This record gives sequence, C-alpha cells and structure tokens, in this order.
Amino acid sequence: MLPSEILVAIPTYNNAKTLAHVIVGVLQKHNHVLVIDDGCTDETTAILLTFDKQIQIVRHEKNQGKGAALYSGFLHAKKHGYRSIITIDADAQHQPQDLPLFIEKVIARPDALVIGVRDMQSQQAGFVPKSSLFGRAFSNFWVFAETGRLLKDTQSGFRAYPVVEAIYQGLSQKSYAYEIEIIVHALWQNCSILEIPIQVYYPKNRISHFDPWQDNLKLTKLHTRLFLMNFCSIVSFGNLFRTKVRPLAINEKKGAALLHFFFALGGTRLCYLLAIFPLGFFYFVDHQSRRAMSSFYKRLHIAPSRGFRNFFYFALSLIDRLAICHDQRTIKQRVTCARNTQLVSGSILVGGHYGDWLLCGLGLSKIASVKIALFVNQKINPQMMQRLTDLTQDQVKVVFLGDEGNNALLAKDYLDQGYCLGFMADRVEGIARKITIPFLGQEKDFSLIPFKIAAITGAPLFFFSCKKAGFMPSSPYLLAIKPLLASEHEAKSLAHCYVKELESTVRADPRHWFNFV
Amino acid sequence: MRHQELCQDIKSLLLSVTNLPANEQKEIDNHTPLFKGGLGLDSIDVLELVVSLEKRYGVKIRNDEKGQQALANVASIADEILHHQRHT
Repeated sequence: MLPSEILVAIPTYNNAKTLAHVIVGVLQKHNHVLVIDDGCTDETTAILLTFDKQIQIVRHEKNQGKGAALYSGFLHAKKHGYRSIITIDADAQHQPQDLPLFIEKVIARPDALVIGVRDMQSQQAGFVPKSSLFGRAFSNFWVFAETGRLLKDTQSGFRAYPVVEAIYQGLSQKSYAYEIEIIVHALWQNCSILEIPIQVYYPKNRISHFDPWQDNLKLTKLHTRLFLMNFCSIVSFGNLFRTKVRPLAINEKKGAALLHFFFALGGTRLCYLLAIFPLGFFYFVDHQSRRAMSSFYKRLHIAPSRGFRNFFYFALSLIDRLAICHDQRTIKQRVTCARNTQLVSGSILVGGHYGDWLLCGLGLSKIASVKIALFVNQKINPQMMQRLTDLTQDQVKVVFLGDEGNNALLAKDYLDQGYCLGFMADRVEGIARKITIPFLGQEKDFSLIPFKIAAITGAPLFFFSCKKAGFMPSSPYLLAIKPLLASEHEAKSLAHCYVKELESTVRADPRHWFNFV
Repeated sequence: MRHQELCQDIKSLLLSVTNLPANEQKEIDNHTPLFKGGLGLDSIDVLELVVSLEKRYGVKIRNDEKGQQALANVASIADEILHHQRHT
C-alpha cells in the first residue's frame, strides 16, 4: 500500500478550540486529510475555511454522533479509492507525532485494524479522569467476554481501519458505542487487530461530548447484546437475532472463554447463577424480541409480561447447551422420553423453536437404534455440532440445509441410509418453499420443505419437541414425539397438521416458545 | 428403449412433477440445463424427479458427483437410465 492510499480522518463536533491545532499537526505528517464536521454549531466552519484546499471536508447538517461521522468517513474513503483510514480525535488528546507509527504499520499490514493504546499512566498524560480509566477497563473486559481477545484499549479513538465493507456492515450504533461495536465485528469476521503504544494528553478543561449517563447506558446495552449474540452463536442459537452480522468463524473455546471459565469453575450451577443476570437484563433492552413475545402472549390472551418466563427458560436452555460443549454426559441423562412412541428408521421429525431442538437430538439418540440427521437452515458452530455427534456416538448428525444445490436429494440419501431426519419448520430465513398458515390467530409463514420431502418420499411424519421440566440445574428435559398424518397426504395437508400440533403444544405450555422473531 | 424415446418420456415426467410455466414447457430440449441458466429447478423439484425416475426405471440417483452429472439435462438422465438398464 502507498501512503497516498491512506486517509487521515478527524471527526469533530464543536471542538473549535483545538481543531486547528490538530489539523496543522496532522498536515505536517500526512497530505490526505478529511475532517468530518458532525453538525458543528461553533466556529468550526470558519476554521475549516482557512485550510482551503489542503483538507477534504464532509459535513453533516445535524449532529448525528461519532459513529455516524466515522461511517461517513468510511463512505468518503471508499468513494475516493482510499484503502485505509486513520482516525484521530479533534480534542487534541492524541499526538499527530504518532501518525508515522500508524502509517508504517498500515503499509506493512493493510488488512489489520490498528489500535493506538493510550499511555494514561505516564506523567505526560495530563489530567486523566478516573471515569476514563474505569470506562476503558470496563470495555476491555466486555470485548474479551464477547470475542475472547483481551485488548488493551478498546475505547481509543486513534486507530487505523482497513476500508473493507464486511467490517462496517450491520453496525447498529451511531454514538461512541460504534467504536466498540466495530472492534467486536472485526474480530468476529476474523480481521487481525494490532496494537501500538501511543501518547495521550488530557488538558485540564478538555471538551468531551461523552455523556456519562446516556453513552454508558448505550454501551451497556450494546455489550449485553454483543455478549448474547456471541453466546448464542457458541451454542448454535444465532438465528435468534435479526442482524446481518454474526460471529462467523468463531472459535468456540476463544469466543466463550469467560463462560467456559465459569463452567469449568462451578459447572451448570454457577453458570445458571451468572448468566441469568445478563439474560434477564437482555429482556429489558432488546425491544424487538420483547415486543414479539408480548404479541405472542396477547394472542394467547395471557398477560404480556409473562414473556419474561420465556427469556428465563431460554437462558437455562443456552447454559444446558454449554454442557454439551463440555462433554458432560450428565446432560444426556437428563433428557427423558415422555411418550413411548416407536420411532421407525427413515422417518421425518418436524419441530419448532419450542424448547431445545439440540437437546431433542440428544434425547432421540437414547430411544432406539435409529440414526438422526438434524437439518438446519444456517451454518452453525461446527465444533458444537461435532460435540453433539461425539456425545451420541455418531448417532446424531447436524446437516446444513443450504439453499443451493441438491440438498433435498441429500435428505433422501440420508433417508435411504435409514436415518430419521429432523427439521425446524417455524422459521423461513433462506427458505424458498414456504406456506402461510394461521397460527395463534395470525397468518404465519412456515417452511414447506420437510412436508414436501415427506410427501414425495412417503416417509412417516412425526412432531417432536423437548422442553425443560422445572428450572433447577438438575431438572430433566422431556422429549415428546407424536405421529402426524400418514404421508400419503400432500405436503400442504401435512403442514396444516403440523401447525395444529405446534399450536396445541404451545398453548398447553407457552413458556418454552423461543421463536423471538 | 431407444435414447430418443427415453428423452421424450423423461420430459413428460419432468412436466408432470414440476409446475413449469407453459412457455418454458415448449422450450425444453434434450440439452437444456435443469438448474441455473436453464429450467432453474430447485432442490425439491429435483427430489420429485429423482423419486419418479426411481419408481419408473429403478435407477437410483444419489447426491454425489455422479448424480450431479446425471442430472445435468434430459439427455444425461437418459444416458444414466440406459447405463443402469445395461448393467442390471
């Protein structure tokens, strides 16, 4: 990479006192400078005019937040063919003398996100507020919990970003929280992160637009969300969140280092205690999921506040899945079969996001000598899947039902080999064949795939679910299997029959409905 | 059964198991790709076709490389059936 492919961006909001000094300092080290005026109402415009054509300017009519300013900078850099952006704060806490360190690093590693680690302990640091030190430690800890990587300064604004779309996609924040979110997303997307030591100077009367209440609340919400996204991905429940970006190539051990540590320390009991708090908190911050659950209870004519129980049971189920990761054979013993149904080889089992389908797999492996292939709509944590297969001595496999190629044919291959196939039909992301059926008094899309396969191949069709009886770590999971219509019927009738069964199961005990979309 | 007759048979089978629009029905020739760039069949259509072929001709088409090649177009399916008949 050439130095001319690097853009130094200075986002600013009412930093008129220090801005000129920062721009002059930066221009001494680099020629390609962008100032993002985030709706300034002070003398910023006049100051920028004095630099004439020496700098590039992007202006927001209204103040939108630092995250929005950085995103505008990214769009500008992309449009003008830059390959890397170095961001530096306009409040003069960073020293432009450190810029060559970044430029050198970026030229050597254009693919990496480089973070300047501020030396807050040195005498040159000036008046470092205690809240900044705490804020930094707090964020470092949470980024570790979300990604397994312990970084030294996740709140530093002096950074170099590669201009790569993937890192910026799906970011939800516009405020300061954006800078944290982008680090977590970058780590989830396997982007390298490098750290270099930099100087920092906090003057006595520094102007900061960080609102200790508003911004800390936003950060707390963000961390709760990211932590849970990571947790759900580890235990293969990533589908829960409506987001474009998921922890993709996450390493299970690294990604849930904190949870694994607690699990190793105190097993399920301790994790139940610890994880209930953030999950309970999640109930208060994730409005979309809570709204979906309220609407679900309203349709059942039950008080919407009862939705909290679903989040609670969902939390327990996530932790029990963690036990699969830890190869705890006791989890297998806890899954019991409620009905003594004979399951024949080559059957199709259809369930929903009711109770825990992975634990269903564990339970199914106990009832007979049948082999099970659980078909999933999206790629999920491969290590987790391998654990499940190992724990069931190859009796249960998880297969990705992709939207391309011959996957229905793959399903037939498994049926021919005597496998029973398991499907979830109540979510339709990435599914082309859908059917709309009234469910709890409202039209809802279901996947038609398992019913089509059953109708075409003539495989017997069963409904299955697995719910936790009680809320103690030792409470068993009850696996229920019920035969549906004989598969001489056409796919649509089979789907209607399934929805009827799902509805009666949900009505009988709504606490285990985990379809939060 | 000769190759050409077999191709006609497969085409009518294809029409009965898939709901192709009328204008596409006329356009099927022996070498029209069944998937992308051709008829655009999805995986369920293919399953339906494979099960019908199995019932009628006893030929088993699997989800492997050989199966993929056999399902390229009507002519390749006919080849696979003739190959199966010669070896049973």
